[in-house]
This record gives sequence, C-alpha cells and structure tokens, in this order.
Amino acid sequence: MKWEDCKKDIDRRGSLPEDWFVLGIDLGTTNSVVSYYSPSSGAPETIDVSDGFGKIPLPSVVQWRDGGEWVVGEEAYRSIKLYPDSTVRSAKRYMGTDKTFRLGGKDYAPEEISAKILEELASRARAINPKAEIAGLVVSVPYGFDDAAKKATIRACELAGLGGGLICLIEEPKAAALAMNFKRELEDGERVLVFDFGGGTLDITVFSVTEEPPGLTRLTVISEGGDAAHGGDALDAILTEQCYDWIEAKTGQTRESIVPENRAEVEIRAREAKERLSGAKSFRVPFTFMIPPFIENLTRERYEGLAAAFIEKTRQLTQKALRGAYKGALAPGDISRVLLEGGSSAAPWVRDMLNGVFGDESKIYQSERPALDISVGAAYYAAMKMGLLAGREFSAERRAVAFSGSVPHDIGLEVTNGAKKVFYTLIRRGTPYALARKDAVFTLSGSRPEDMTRFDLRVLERINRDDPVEDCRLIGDIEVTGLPPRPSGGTRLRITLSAAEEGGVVSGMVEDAGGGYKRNFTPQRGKKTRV
Amino acid sequence: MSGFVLGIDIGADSSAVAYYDAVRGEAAAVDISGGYGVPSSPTVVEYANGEWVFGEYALSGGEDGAVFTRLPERLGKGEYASAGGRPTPIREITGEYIRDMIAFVKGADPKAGVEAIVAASPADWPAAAAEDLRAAFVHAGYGSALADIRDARECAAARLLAGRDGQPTIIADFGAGAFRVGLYERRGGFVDCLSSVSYPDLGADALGRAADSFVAGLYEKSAGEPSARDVRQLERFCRSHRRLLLGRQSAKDVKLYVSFAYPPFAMTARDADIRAVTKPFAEGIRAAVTAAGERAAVSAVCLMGGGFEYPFARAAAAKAFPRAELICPKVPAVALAEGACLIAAAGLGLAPAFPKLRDVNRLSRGVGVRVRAGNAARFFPIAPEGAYWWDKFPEGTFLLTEPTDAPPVVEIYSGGRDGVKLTDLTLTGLPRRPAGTTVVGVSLAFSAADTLDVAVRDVGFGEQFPSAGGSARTKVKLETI
Ligand SMILES: Nc1ncnc2c1ncn2[C@@H]1O[C@H](COP(=O)(O)OP(=O)(O)OP(=O)(O)O)[C@@H](O)[C@H]1O
Ligand SMILES: [Mg+2]
Repeated sequence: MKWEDCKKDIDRRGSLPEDWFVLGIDLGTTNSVVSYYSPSSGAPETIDVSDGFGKIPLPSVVQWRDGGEWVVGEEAYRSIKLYPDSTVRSAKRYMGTDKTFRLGGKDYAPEEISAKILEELASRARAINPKAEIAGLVVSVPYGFDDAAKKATIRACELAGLGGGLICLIEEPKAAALAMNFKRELEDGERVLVFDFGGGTLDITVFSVTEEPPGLTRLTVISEGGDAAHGGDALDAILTEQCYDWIEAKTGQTRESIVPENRAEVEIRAREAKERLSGAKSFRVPFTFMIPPFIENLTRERYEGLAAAFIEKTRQLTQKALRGAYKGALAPGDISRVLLEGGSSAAPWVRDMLNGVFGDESKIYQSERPALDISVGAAYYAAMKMGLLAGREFSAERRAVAFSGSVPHDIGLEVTNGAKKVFYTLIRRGTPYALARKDAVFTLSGSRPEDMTRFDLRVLERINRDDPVEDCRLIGDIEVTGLPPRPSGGTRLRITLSAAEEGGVVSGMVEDAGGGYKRNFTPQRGKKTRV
Repeated sequence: MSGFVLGIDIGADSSAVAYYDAVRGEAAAVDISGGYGVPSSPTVVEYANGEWVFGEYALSGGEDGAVFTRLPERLGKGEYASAGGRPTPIREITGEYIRDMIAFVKGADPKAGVEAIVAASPADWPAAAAEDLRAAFVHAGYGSALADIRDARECAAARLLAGRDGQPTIIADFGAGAFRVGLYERRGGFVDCLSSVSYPDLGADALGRAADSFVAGLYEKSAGEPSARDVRQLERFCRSHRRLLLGRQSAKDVKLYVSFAYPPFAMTARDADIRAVTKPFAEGIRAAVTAAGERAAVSAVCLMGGGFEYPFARAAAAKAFPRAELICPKVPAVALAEGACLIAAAGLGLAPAFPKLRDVNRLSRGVGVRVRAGNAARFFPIAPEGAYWWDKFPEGTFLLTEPTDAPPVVEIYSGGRDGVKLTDLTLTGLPRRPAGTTVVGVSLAFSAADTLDVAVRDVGFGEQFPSAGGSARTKVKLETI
C-alpha cells in the first residue's frame, strides 16, 4: 500500500482505524524518541521509554552480552563500564558506511545496530496498544544524510520488522519546524531558521511561512545546511583528549595503557563536564576512578577555548546555510526567528554565537522540549501524509498546514567535460518531491565500437552547494549496455533521475531519444548496477 | 502573545512552572529540565566560585560550593546562609532561583514579558513565609508581576476540579515532604475543603530514603562497607536510582550497575524486595485516601505530586475507592504549577473564573468554656479559631469558684462575646467541696467536621482534694463550625 492509498482508505472510513498506529521516530545519535499520533487529542503523544529513569528518550545505546542477550537503551547506558567492549554508542554516525561493529565474534553493520533501537522503540509503542499494527512510520534523518545513509535507515526499519507498513523519512529540522508550527502561531511572511544541534549532527533549515489561501499556513523550505558529523560527540572528543592529557600528567598513564572500563568512564566524565558547563562557569571533573584519584577544575572559558575551532565552524555552517538559500542568499536580517533544538543547543556559546550572527537576542527562541520536538514533528508528518490533519475539528482549533517535503541535496551525474570531471545537476536541492523528476539529453560519442554500445553512468549527490565533484557522494554506478551500434555522435540518450519522497530513494531511466531502447535502474552504492 | 501568564510551584524538593497557552486554553508545564520531558527541576541552588548554579546543574557539584536545599521550608524565619562568605537571606537565594526559572521560560519567547504570576504556597503557610516569598519575587525582578500567592489546595482544585460541581472529590498530593489528602467539593461558587490531612511519614522523601537504604544494603552485601571515598558516590548512586526502583512499570527485578566501584559490578534488586520497600507506603496511601473519603460518596480520586509518578503509588490510591473515577494528570508533578497558572489566567479574564477555596473545616470561631465570675463571664477557647477540627487540643482546666453543693455545670460555647452556646454538661458525682477547691478538666475533640465530643472530668485539687473520678461526656452536632 502507498501513503496515498492509505489516506484514501482513512478518508473512506472517516477516521483512523483504532488498531492502526501512526508513529514518528527520532532515531538520534545519542537519544531516540518515539511518538504516536493520538486521534483523540489530534496531536502526537511522546512515549516515555525511560523505565522510570526520568527522561523520556531512549539512549541510543546497544549492548551485546554473553549468552546472546541484547540490551538497549537506559540499561545499556548505565552498564557501559561493565561491558565496555560490547556496547555501541552513536552508531548513527556510521550509517551508510562500511564500518562494522564486532560483538560476540560477529560483525554488525550500523543499520543492524540501529534496528535494535527501532525494535525497542516499536515494542514500547506496541505496549500501549498491543493489538495495533504500525500502519505508518516517519523516521527522521539528519539533513546531511546521503543516499546511502538514508537507504541504511530504511533497511534498519525493515530489519526491525517495521517493513510491513509504510515508511517515510523526513529531515530532522523539517520535523522540528512542523512541531513548532503546531505549538506557536507563525505569522505570514516569517522566515524561521531551525537550528537543531544534537549528539552527532548539526542540521539547519530555513523555512518561510506564507498564508495562501488565508487560513492555510504553508511552510516552504528555502534553505538547508549543517553537517552530519558536527555535534555533541565531537565536543566530547575534544574534552576526552583534554582528560587524557590530565591523566597522563597526574598518573603517567596513557589512553592505551588504561583499562577499557576506565576509558569508558573518561568519555562519560568528558560528556558530563561538557553538559555541566552549560549551567555553571566551572566544573570540577572527578577522576576518582584513577589511581591515584584526582580532581581537575575546568572552567567554561577554558572549555570554549579548547573548542574554539569547533565553535568557529558552527558559525560558518550557520552563515553558509544563509548564503546557500535556494533562491539567493539570505541576510541575517531576513530571519525573523531562530529556533534552538537538540541537546547541544543548551550550551551558552551556541546562543552567544547566534547572537553574534543575528545581532538580536530577541530572535533566539529556545524550544520548550528540544529533545522531543523532532519525533513529535515526524508523527505530525506521518499524520499529515495520511490525511489525518485535514479534518475539520483540527483546523477549527488550529490553522491548517500545508507542507511538502523537498529534496535536500543536488542530485545529478558525473560528466566528463574535456579532461575535467564535473557534477551535472539534474534535481536541484529544494525541489519538492512531487516535481523531483528531471531529465537531460546527452550525445554518445567515441572512437571504439563499444563506446557506442555501452557506457558508465555515475549518479552523485552534492551535499554542500559548492562542493567540487570529488566531494560529491556516490549514489551508485550504472553500466548501461546493449545500445544500438551507431556511428559516433549518432545516439542521443535521455537520462532521467527521480527522487521518491519515501526515503529519498533515487531511481532513473535511460532511453534512446531515437526510440526503442529504454531501461530503468536503481543505483546502489557498493556495486555496479548493470542495465 | 503579549506576555507570559505563569504559575509557579517552588517545592521543597522540586519546582515547576507552567504558562497559560491561550491558543489551547490550557496551562502547559514548561520543561525546565533541559527538554528531556521532565517538567520539574530540583529546588537546589549552589553558590560556587562567585556564581549561582541551579537545579540539575547544582546537584553534581557542591564539594566546595555552598548548596542550598529545601528553600520554601526555610522562608519566613529570618534565616541567612553563607554564600561565598557573604551572609545571604534565604529569600534572596530563593529569588535567584526564581529568576533563573523564569529566564528559562522566557527563552521560549524572548519577545514576551511576564504579565502575571501566581505562586502556590503550602497550605497553612505562616504569613511571614509568604512575605518572604513575595520578597524573593521582588529580588528576582518580578515583584510587580506577582499577582498572588495562593494556597496549594486552591491551586490543585483549580487544576483538577473543573466541571466536578457537586461531586465530592478526593485530592491526594504525594509531595516530597508529606503525603496530603483532602476531600473537596465544588458548590455554590466555592470549593469547599471538607478535610485535609498531612502525613509526613508517607512523603516521597521518606519513601526515597527507604529506597536508598535498601540500595545501600544491597551494595554492602556485595562490596562491604563503602570506603570513605565511596560514601558520597554511593549516596549519589542511591539517589539517582530512586526512580528506577520505585518507578518501574512492571513487577520485574531491576539490575543496578555500580559503575563507581572498582571493579564495577552489577547487583539485582529483586522484585519481592522492592515491593517490601514500597509496601508500607502503598498501604499507608491506601489507608489515608480511604480515611479521607470515609463518610462521603466519593466520586473521584485525583492524584498530583511527584510521588504519583510511581505506578505503585497510583495503584495504591486507586484501591481505596475502586468505584470512583481515578484522575491522574499526565505529569502529576506539575499539576500544582498548572493550577496556579489557571488562577493567574482567570485573574486576567483569560480563563474561566475560579471559585475560591472555603475551608469548611477550620473553626471559624474558637470553641471553649464560658466561665462565670460574679456577673461577668469569660470565654476560654480550647479549640482555637483557625484550627482544623481534626487537630488535637490540649485539655483545658478551670478552677470552680463556687462550692460543689450543686453539681457544677460546664457551658461549652462557640465564640466569645456574642458566641453561641453549644451545650451544657453537668459534672455529677462530686463530693462536697468548698469554693475554690475543684478543678475541672475539659477536653474537646471533633470526631467529624460536624461532631464535637466534649468530656469533663474532676481533676482534683492538691493532696487534700484528690479527684473522685467523676466525669461526663456528650456529643454535639453542629450546623457549621
Ligand atoms: N546541558 C547540556 N549542555 C550541552 N550539551 C548537552 C546538554 N545536554 C545534552 N547535551 C548534549 O546533547 C547531545 C544529545 O542531544 P540530542 O538528544 O538532541 O541528540 P540526538 O538527537 O541523539 O543526536 P542527532 O540529532 O545528532 O542524531 C549530547 O551530545 C549531549 O551531551
Ligand atoms: Mg536529534
């Protein structure tokens, strides 16, 4: 079934069937959150998966224990020191890469680890209504996720047994924007910059708010930016380095020489120090687990000094997101609000930096529930896609909202132009998925006969607008064969690429402009697809 | 939004703040914990290295800084504490905390000011404490925004009793310092508080301490006495695992991982043992709720307070009146702040006006004995005005100025000068004694809001006139108290 069919089905029935679950999942680097759309309140409800530990999110920690037991979440986090070698954190950072995790003598891909988290979240959701099936699921992904990482995310959902229903991805800041819209009244003509700064990534999205027709709030993404490897984890790493320097100075031990459980402890201390320094100007970092035990005082100033390059990069990423708007650069003054999301945005330097960029403190809004918004937004999106938010009762309370997903990165082909390789854009970033089907015609030429019957196609994705072709991410290699033998320059091929909203998955088609020949393909990283 | 309309609950253990969401027409708690979905923050302030640190951030430090806790209990006593060597009034420390809390709220909408604030105060708070809280708001810069300080019970009723007119409803508040339970009814433009009892031994603090000593015991079984170095760590470990033990969703063993020990180890808190920790509290809660609704047709039991985040506590309260509706707000810990916020909104005409709390169980006039001395009569209250009927009143003793030729009559009055006579009680069986040699003891106790038990007895007078053991008692039905 497709989302559209699902929507029609719900339309026909007049309401969401009781045993259908509509979920939004924020599969975070550090914390994951699941919300379900509650038809009774007409809004998503976040599910507390803390086991009474106090915080709603599930730590994205997966642990393997001898005997084949998997422990996921809070308990895994609490017991890191007992299982330092078989606990995986921040697996999301490696989605779509070849990295593997060795647990109990077996190698696991990042998506297999993520699947454990998804399984856990889904089982918590099912506990609310055991008879329900998950009919629709929206999972959020960072803006910077490339095609491979998105496919890995979809695969993680399938591995978690969620493949039976509908799955769709949404970029995290778009989800945050949606959640925000339902919380506050955005005004016609506003431009809102969502600054989602999490454990693994920084995601920035600028969207404009228009009211057309009156009463309908339309959110349009006008710029996206950020970095998939720029988050709290990187700050932890900086502080962890500092901790090792202290340890070496005080005890003579090095990172390599201390036992793994203490290495885990050092990382925990580094993260704790970082978080504490958001509320206090200095923090005494205890190294009570070392011999001899000692305590080091770390001031916020010193910490910000250590992180100066990171902070500077954060500023540049912010400015870049303004400059790189789809329809011409934005100036800081064009932004009416900045919305802070994600755990890392609690750091005072984030606010200071943004004050510097925007020059107006009163523009900086802190979300009331920064850790939960993304999953709430994802659940709203799932509900929207099922037509659940179009109901009359709903728009009576709140204005109706129109929002459509758009392609976050340029998608195109590697083309040889003389001796130089260049990136040829087919689908431009910001294109709504509904229109994300573009083609171009190329003339085939070559001196050898096989040059005319086969050729290689590289489908690429350009994450940052001004990345050179070498920095573009490979979506997949295609080998096109079986073309009619013609003299050089005698074949004109039309190449079409399209991006589907469900997971942003790219597919394509090659056809002979002269007719006859026509092949479809779905590029995949890591193997050459032959058509 | 032109400005925030806030309800603030500064609790002994944790605090919460709610704002009025005009779009939805409801009070919404602000997640002051940093966004992880726990909309309350520990009422802890630390002063270290020349700066104030608050809440969660203050909990971890404190080795060398000054840490201030239980602020509301310390208001109104003229108390000072040393912050960086400077004697600082508790109300100022409270003010710093309030300022930080409101600053956090304003982060959600930096363009908005603060229009009105209602703060909840413990029921029966001394006026001096309320005065100090006012001063704390002034110190924080919100003196003029503070519209009112309202009795916690009133705030709770505002949050929980909407639409429940004419239905006797129990509100149980599982706070840190005490478990409080009362019976309320909305009627005739008032919310009548029909009873209200506080059980300090059943408070969440006491429960937490019980859990702590259980965990410490487990630790000692595995690792022996903690070393001097580990004592603090163990303490912190126990505190941070309270919720895990007490808040578990299902009856399962709970694994605890002692990471601070070397080598780290795991221990198991068995289901039966955890239950043994909670059992006295579960039973106490059930009994307290049952007692509160004893003679009423209880239509609903409403739960609030952080302790009701624990499923076992909710289950225990539900057992008291299985046929009554159980109402538990999504986050019981912030119900009070939400109620205060609704009162603030009502004050501005944004939310429906809220009926005032009427304490039908406080004595509107003192009850005592009228003693004649010649032509004049004097009133001696035994149960003083403003006391709750369930309070215990010490026996009053009176010297009779007449000889006991006739059995003396004790006149019980409600109110002094133009008081109402409630009853006459004749003390029979006295031997003949001269004037000025008979002491009568009078005891008053209410067995219910409308039932006064009066007892008089012969106390005797020195060795010469020992008590002959005479006594009398009676019950008086009252219209109002
Ligand atoms: N008070 C704080 N000050 C600074 N950093 C904090 C604070 N609280 C949490 N963090 C950091 O926030 C990060 C987690 O944030 P969050 O839960 O938003 O991430 P995530 O959603 O898991 O990650 P991502 O969105 O990148 O996948 C961690 O790096 C954590 O250390
Ligand atoms: Mg996130």
